[in-house]
Amino acid sequence: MLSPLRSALMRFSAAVVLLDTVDPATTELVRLRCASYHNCRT
Amino acid sequence: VSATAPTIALVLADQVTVQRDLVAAYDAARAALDGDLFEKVRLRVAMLLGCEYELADDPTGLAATLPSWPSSPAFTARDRACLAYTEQFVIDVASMPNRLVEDLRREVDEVDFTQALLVIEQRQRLTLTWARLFDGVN
Repeated sequence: MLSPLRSALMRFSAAVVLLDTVDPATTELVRLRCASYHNCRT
Repeated sequence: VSATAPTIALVLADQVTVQRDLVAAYDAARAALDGDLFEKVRLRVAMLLGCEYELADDPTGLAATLPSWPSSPAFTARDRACLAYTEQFVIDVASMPNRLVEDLRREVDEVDFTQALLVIEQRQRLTLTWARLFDGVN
C-alpha cells in the first residue's frame, strides 16, 4: 500500500500529465532539457 | 520580487484539479516529516533558493541556526543526514554521493524523505517563478 505522500504525488503527476495548455512538442522539449540538465538517463 | 507571493489558488485558478492535488501533496509532505524536521528542511531549501517568502515564515528564528547544522549540538544525527542530503539535492542532485544516501537511509525512510523534499523544493521554485511571471497580481 502506498503512503499518503506517494499517493498524493501520483495524483498530482497524473493531473499535470493531463494538462494540454502547452503543445506536445514544447512539453517534450522542456522534459528533455530538464533531463539533460540533471543528467537523468531514465 | 513583490513582497507577497502569488498564491497557488490565484495562479492555478483555472486548473482546479492540479491546484487541489498540489496542495494535497504539500500537506502530505508536511505530514510525512515531523514538524521539527519539516521546518528545518523547508527553511534550509528557502535559504539555498533565496526564497524570501518562506524565510518570512520563521516564528522561532530557526533559520538563523541552520548554517551551523554540521557542528551545532542543537542538531541530531537525523537532522544532519537530512540537511546534508537536502543541500546536495537542491544544489546538484545529479552528483548526489552514495555516502549521503546511506547516511539518510540510516535515519529515515529515504523514499518518503526524498518525495517530501521534492514537494518542498518544487513549491518554492514555483513561488519564485510565479513571482517573476506574475509580479503585482496580488
